[in-house]
Amino acid sequence: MWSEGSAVVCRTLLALSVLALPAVAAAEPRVAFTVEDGWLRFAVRQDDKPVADAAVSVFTEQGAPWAKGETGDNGKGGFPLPRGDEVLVELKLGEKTADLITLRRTGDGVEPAEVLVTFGLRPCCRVPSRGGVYQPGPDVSPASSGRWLAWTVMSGCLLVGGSLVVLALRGRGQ
Amino acid sequence: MTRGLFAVLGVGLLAVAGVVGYHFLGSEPPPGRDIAQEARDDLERRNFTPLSAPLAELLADPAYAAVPTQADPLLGNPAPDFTLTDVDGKAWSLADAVKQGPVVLVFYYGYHCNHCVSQLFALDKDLAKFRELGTTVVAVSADPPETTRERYKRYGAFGFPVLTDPGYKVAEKYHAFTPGKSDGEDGNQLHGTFVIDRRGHVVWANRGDQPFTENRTLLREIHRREPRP
Repeated sequence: MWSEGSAVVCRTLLALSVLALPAVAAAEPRVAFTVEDGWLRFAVRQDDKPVADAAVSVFTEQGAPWAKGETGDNGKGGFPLPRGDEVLVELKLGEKTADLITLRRTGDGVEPAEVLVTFGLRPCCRVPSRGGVYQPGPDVSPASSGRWLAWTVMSGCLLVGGSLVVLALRGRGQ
Repeated sequence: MTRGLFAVLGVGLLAVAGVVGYHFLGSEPPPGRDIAQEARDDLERRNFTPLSAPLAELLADPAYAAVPTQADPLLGNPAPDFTLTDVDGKAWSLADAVKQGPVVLVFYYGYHCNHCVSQLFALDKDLAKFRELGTTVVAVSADPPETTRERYKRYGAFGFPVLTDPGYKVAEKYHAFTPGKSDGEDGNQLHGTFVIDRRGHVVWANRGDQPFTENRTLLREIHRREPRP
């Protein structure tokens, strides 16, 4: 009886601890650009680590494909810089294609020199179309998820803690 | 032995439940909500702390990793000009503001929920640092001036202009609002933060579903382009 009870409690505890683990989301990747001897060099990093095998495509300012390749193990790569004032860079990480990056040539480099990579931006609030009366959307701030997590942890602890105490008291009675 | 362990573990878990409940769930706002406090709590959750070190020190720190700009369609281009009214009905124009120096333009959701307005509290805390760099901070939402005035009366005013953008016309120009495709369809709103240099060009941008509260990045970006002695 005790071993069965222990197994159930341990399984429950394990499940609850997994449930209660906060989801750790990776930070958005960053890509840095430099110009060296007429070459556009780039370095892709995420969570301060190089991102290998990121597919990088470079287009001329008219949108014509110029070069295509992948980052190496060090997250770096480079192509000859096409002519023109602007260069377009497309980055693909896994199956996700990032928003197109437009680089402008400056005296000795390009601007922006570093970009926070985005994959389409998520809006938060939905509001009635033009002319409608403003109505705020639901509050989806971390506060909501934090409360959910707190509720889950508290309920789990109450349930398991209560069960353990009951089990201990029952055992005492036998 | 096992019984004792169970009892100790059980009591321990009940204690954890009590602590979690007290700290995270016991602070339910009173029936009359205090949005300003909720916004400050939101900033705390985002680990926001006002910049206390001298500006020169903050700008020179090599260990600080600034947040890069996003690949925004307006980046490097002239910022769409606009003239809107502030809480007192006074006209405020971007073109006039950039003549004085760089501008930090913020699109926020309105003064009605914690994260909607928390960035404004963060900017207000560090406003002196922005002023040291000759920068104007301005915030824009669709809130009518009466709403902002009512909030100011209750919670106090911000030290920078807060403008009304009826129909999200300006937010749309900055891609911080996308109207619905048809009449009945809702539009989508984003938080937006833009650094505009004194030429009137967008030089740094961040849009998304979360407010941008890393003021130090904004200061660094402004200083990088327009260093002041």
